[in-house]
Amino acid sequence: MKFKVLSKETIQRIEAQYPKYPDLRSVTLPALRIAQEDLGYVSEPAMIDIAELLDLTPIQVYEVATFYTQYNMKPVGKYLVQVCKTLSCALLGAMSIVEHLQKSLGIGIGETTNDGFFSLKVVECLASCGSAPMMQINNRYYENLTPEKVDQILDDLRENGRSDLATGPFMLPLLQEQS
Amino acid sequence: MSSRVTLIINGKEVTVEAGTRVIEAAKQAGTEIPHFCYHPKLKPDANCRMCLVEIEKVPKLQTSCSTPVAEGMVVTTESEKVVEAQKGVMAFLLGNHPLDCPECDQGGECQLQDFAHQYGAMTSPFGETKRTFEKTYFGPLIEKEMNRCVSCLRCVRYCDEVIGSNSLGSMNRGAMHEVGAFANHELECEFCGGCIQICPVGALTSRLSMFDYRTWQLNKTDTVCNYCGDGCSLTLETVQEDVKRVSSEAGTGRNTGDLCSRGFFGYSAINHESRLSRPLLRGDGGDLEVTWEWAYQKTVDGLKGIVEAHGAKAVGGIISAQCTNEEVYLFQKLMRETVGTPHIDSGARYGYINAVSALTQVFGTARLTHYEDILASDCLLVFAGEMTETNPITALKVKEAIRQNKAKLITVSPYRSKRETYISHLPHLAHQHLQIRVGTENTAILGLTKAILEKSPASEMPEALLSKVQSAVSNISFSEIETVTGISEQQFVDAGTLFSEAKQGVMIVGRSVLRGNDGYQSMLRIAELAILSGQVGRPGTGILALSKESNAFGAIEMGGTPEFLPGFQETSEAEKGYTVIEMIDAAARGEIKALYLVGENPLRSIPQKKVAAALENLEFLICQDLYSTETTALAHIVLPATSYAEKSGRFTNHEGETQKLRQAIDPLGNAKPDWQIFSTLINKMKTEDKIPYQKLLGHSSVDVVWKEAVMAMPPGWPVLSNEGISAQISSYAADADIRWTLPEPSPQGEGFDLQVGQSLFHAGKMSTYASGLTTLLDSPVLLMNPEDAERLEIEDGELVQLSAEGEQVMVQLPVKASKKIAEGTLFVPEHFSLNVKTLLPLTLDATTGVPYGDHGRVSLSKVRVTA
Amino acid sequence: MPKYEQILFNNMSKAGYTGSLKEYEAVGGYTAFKKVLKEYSSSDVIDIVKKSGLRGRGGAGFPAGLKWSFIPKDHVGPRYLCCNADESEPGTYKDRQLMEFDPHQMLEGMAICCYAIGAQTAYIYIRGEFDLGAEILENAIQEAYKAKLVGKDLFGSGFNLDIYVHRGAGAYICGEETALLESLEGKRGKPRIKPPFPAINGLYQEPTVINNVETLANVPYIINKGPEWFRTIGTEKSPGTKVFSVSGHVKKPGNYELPLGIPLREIIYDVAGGILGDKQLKAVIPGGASAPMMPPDQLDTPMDFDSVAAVGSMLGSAAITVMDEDTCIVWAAMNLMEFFYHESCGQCTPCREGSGWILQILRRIEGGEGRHSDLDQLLELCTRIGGRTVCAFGDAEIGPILSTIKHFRSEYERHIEEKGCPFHPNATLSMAH
Ligand SMILES: Cc1cc2nc3c(=O)[nH]c(=O)nc-3n(C[C@H](O)[C@H](O)[C@H](O)COP(=O)(O)O)c2cc1C
Ligand code: SF4
Ligand code: FES
Repeated sequence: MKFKVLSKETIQRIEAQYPKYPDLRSVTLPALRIAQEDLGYVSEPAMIDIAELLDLTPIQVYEVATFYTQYNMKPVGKYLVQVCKTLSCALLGAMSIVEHLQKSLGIGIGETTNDGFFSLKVVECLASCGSAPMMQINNRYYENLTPEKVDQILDDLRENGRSDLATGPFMLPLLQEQS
Repeated sequence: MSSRVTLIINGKEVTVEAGTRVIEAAKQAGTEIPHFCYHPKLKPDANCRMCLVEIEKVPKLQTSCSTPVAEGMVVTTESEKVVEAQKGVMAFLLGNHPLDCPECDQGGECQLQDFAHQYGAMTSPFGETKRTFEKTYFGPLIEKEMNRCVSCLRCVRYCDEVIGSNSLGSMNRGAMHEVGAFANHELECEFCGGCIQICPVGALTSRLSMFDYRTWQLNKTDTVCNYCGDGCSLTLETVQEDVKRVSSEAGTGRNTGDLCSRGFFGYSAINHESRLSRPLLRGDGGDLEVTWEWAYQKTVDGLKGIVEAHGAKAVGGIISAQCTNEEVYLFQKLMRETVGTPHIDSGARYGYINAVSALTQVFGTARLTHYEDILASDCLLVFAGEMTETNPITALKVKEAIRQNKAKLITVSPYRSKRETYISHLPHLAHQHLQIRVGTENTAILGLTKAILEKSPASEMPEALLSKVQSAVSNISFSEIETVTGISEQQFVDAGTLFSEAKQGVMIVGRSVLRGNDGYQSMLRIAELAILSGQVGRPGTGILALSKESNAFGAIEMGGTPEFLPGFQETSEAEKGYTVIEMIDAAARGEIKALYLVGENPLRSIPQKKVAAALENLEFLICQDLYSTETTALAHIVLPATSYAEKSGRFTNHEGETQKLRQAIDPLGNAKPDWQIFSTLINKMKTEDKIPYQKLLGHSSVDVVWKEAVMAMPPGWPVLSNEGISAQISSYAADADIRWTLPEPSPQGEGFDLQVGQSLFHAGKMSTYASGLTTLLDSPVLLMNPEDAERLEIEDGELVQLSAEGEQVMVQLPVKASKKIAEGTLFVPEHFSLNVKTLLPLTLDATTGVPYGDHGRVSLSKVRVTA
Repeated sequence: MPKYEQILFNNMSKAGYTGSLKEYEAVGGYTAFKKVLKEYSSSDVIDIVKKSGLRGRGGAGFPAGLKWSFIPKDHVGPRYLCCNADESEPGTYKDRQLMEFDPHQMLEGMAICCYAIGAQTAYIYIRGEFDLGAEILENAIQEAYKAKLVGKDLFGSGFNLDIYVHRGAGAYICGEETALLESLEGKRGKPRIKPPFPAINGLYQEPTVINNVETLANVPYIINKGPEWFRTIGTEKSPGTKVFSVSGHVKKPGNYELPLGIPLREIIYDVAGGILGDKQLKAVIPGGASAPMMPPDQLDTPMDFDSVAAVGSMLGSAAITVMDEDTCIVWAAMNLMEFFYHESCGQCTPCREGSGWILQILRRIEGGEGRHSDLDQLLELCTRIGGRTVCAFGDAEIGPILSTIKHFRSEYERHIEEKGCPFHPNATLSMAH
């Protein structure tokens, strides 16, 4: 069977999920994630391929893709910057972080920089409320943000493709002081 | 074992079946609880929250659609709290609703309108901005207006739970939730119309008749669909003489309100412009429109002239299996009694006669299995991979048995089990699929018979039959069977064991057997298989032979074939007339001089050059039809008949259920129902004087004809007692001569097995006159296995050329890759280009004379496009 | 500040502890599981957990042992455990810490639970954004397989167990247990109608237990030290510790493991160091966004399930969000309503439609276009949502509205009268997604 866009490796990664579940349909979420990791977003042909793999109809895949916010239905920049705007972050200046990002990147919310490097999104709570304000860029968290720190992170990513300011395993604020 | 539960609803005691939902119990008690998402056909989803009721001792209001009754439950449906809740939901639903009722096709039968009227104000309660959805094109047949949607998901759930098409879905979430097709594209699906029917508001409506009527102007007539043998009840909704739409009320009829695309969207064939509306006489100067008086006289004179000159046997008649029981009865009476010829046949000759003759031969009756048996069974052995296409509603019964009864499905078909598009596919649902080579159904039956006989035969079986079958199968090995069918011994044994060990097993046989090779023998072997596995003669067992035409069963039962007089009384060998092909041959020889064709078009049905020559050889050709066709062009006289919408009568579907057709509109122009034409002719033939036909005492109504037909039936008709069946089986067993021969295995490698069959969107020729259906499919395509297409580097839409050995004809068709097609095979829906059939060999059944020409070997090459 | 007895944070508080299997085993890890396999029947385990009084830490506080006991004993066919690691209640970030720093603690709890309910397959449903957490869990599971702590015929007991990580993809509602099951089955996260409850008809229609990460992480300690020990911590009806995620306007935000029943004031002022900039407190959310807000005069409420409920709020996930005196309450309510509007799954009419109307009204009030009739309309909208939806989301989304109108009505009225927000006259108020 010829697939439209999914590579052999992607298909193998998806197939590696099969043994986890008694029902193939359960692989829908992992498959969409894997496809997105490869293609940057979940395109229509990718969803058709997934449907073919999982013996579903394309709409059954599409239904799921549009329910969850992590699936990009359109291409995004190399770095997807997602700033949390829910209450705890908002109380500690999430709005000004977003404003700062808009200025630094020269784009609005939902837009991508001309060089295709950064896309900016505002999202709901990412479970990092104690280290507000925070943002997620691709699969890493950046916490306790200040405008200076944000600039440093953007610079790091532009130059090195990574930033040491990313949160490692969860920071443990004040644990020692507690005991 | 059903238990009853008593509860109190609004102070009134009601006793209902355990497991009933409160909303249904209330209905039985005469109280309607307002609802949107509830629908008796669907699993409760309880999303609209409109049906909330108060239940004593339960703190929160409960959704009555999802709550099962309990003994002693006390339910209030009208308390202040409940009323407040209903108002709340109505306010929410109306808040974002466009309130565009004046231009909505649902207006007048909209649940939102009705409940707003009763339970809330018909105004928008909030002063904020309404949510609006951008309009998207949903395809040529269905209109989607999301601003009217109440998100009850009835459409999506129907598509998933009932049809199994899974083509509609939810997209986005929360307040921006919408229903739609993949990626918001045009809808691709089975087009059963179910989503339109089940939508409580005007969010999904039919485009075929948009803005054409207001619902309260519609006259409704309950009748029966004429497109296939499933026998669906439907309601023709008309304004004056125009059919505006079709519906089928949930729960009614053999179809319990479900329809297929042909039933729902196929009605515009009725008023098609090529309908014949006046009798025509062929003269030297072309066709002449004549009065009925003139036409009748000419017909009678013509027939009498032939009889006088050449004897009655020089006349033959062929009637469509889409004519009613009354019509077939009168036609055979006209032929057999009035004219005096035994040569009468019908469209049932194209395959269905194989089923009826074989089953009556073995069991004394062909009325063996009803839909209820399918629903009750726990294992279904289906020789009809094409069932969704040929008999969509019977296929729904199979799906329902799988869903509700956890029935196991075994399919035997050349299709792959992969599903192709949104059209549901039984082999895809099968627990075991035997993917046989094209045209090897008969040998697959042998494999199953051998497997059951050797591994798990039923305990009680007529000895004679057992030993005969045993000796017939013993000298054929599984490996020989595998060479022909491609199915291994293990697969046969697994399937055979599953079926014979089922508590209740039903076999369903379709076109690929009845119109494959050796259909009559295959049916006998299937009957023996049923006996061997003990799956006949009890509820939830038996054999259902699928009919393509709406009244194939009835046509045979009413005496419309040479082998049977009315009521399946066999004609003696001496008085047996010719079959369709025999009549054509006799015409070619000059033995038959006059043919009376009713709704039959042999030029299309039998793709052979000799047919045209035979018809041209006739001295007198009468064609009675709805449309002008290739054949009517050759007729000496053309009589315009009416469609099923313009007449009353009865159809007997493939279960053997006889149902009433009711006239919905007046006949088009001067067309007349076939039965009236026959009745007049019978009388006119008998009178020597030239009395105007209106003065002749014909049958005053179809009911009078029906009474006469019933009187002509043998005693005991229509049912045969269980003892009768057993006795018949024993006598069959005693006389039977059971022999199995293996066909030559079809060559592998180069070339393809081409199969011609049906598309879901068409049935016979009539559907090709329906604009709704031609929108879905208006030209033939060649379905091909995707790997084959890839290997040969053929893209979808590309033209290829087919040719067959010994045939000069070349056929060009555009290709479509389809996952359900097996490697090395090709499939073409037959409704359009029939020249493809000329590539296929035509053979006749040795017993029944059924013509077979559905499959054969072809070679395929790409058409080189030169710029 | 007193020293509080910790259970779950003990290991990770030790300098250098990284949560590897070796380290976990060194501090007694997996002894409880081995003990259970060797010495206890499944009903023994359920009894012990029942006796401990352990209540669910995911939000509803349902007794864990009781929940396990609902799994039909005579069921033939698979049963499942789903560990709820969706952690999506705004304000909550504790499970992330538990998973990333001591993954084996919860894996052991899961293994014991599976043994108790007869499940051979367990899934960890982790929110999609937790990439690191998923990676750490996957590694820990691999370690456990290698050490034969998970897998076939464990310690010759004949008991088999597989644990898999299933990642969400961004949907708050999938923290709701039946939406979680739908999501695991590869569908949209639409909460199911209950009954039937998951214990009877759960994942793939089979009996299923769903427990929060923190709930399960407590189990090994209860087995090892006994239910009586567990009851010495916390209160009579809410035994044990609870991890409180403190955020917002406090000096030292963070996750703190404290005994249940500790007064709210102590958490905010002693443990978390008081209000940022030593300002006055205006309002507290005691248990995640769904929990009604509490005014300062309720600061002495003991933080256990029943006491918080008694003052009209709920302990929920024990995520404490603190708002200082300069916080605009209407804005805060609006911010949360944006969250709920965005996250409603959309199946129930009241939740789907109501959240939008409420949000529009709040935006109007905050933007200076409020009307006097708005408050009544808001209250009416809330009564038409509360208690009338498939899942508890409907109740959750009205919590912030009802509680702020109840405790801070005058602030709404000021917005309406002054035709604008007294706190942020010109600021960016909300952001569309
Ligand atoms: C809208 C909603 C969201 C929820 N989100 C979570 C969540 O993110 N994590 C969680 O553990 N429980 C969440 N719950 C609670 C779960 O439904 C369930 O009660 C819990 O996982 C049971 O585990 P426990 O008994 O161990 O607390 C949520 C409930 C609702 C109604
Ligand atoms: S209350 Fe809201 S979130 Fe919960 S099921 Fe209903 S629509 Fe979905
Ligand atoms: S009919 Fe019961 S909730 Fe919709």
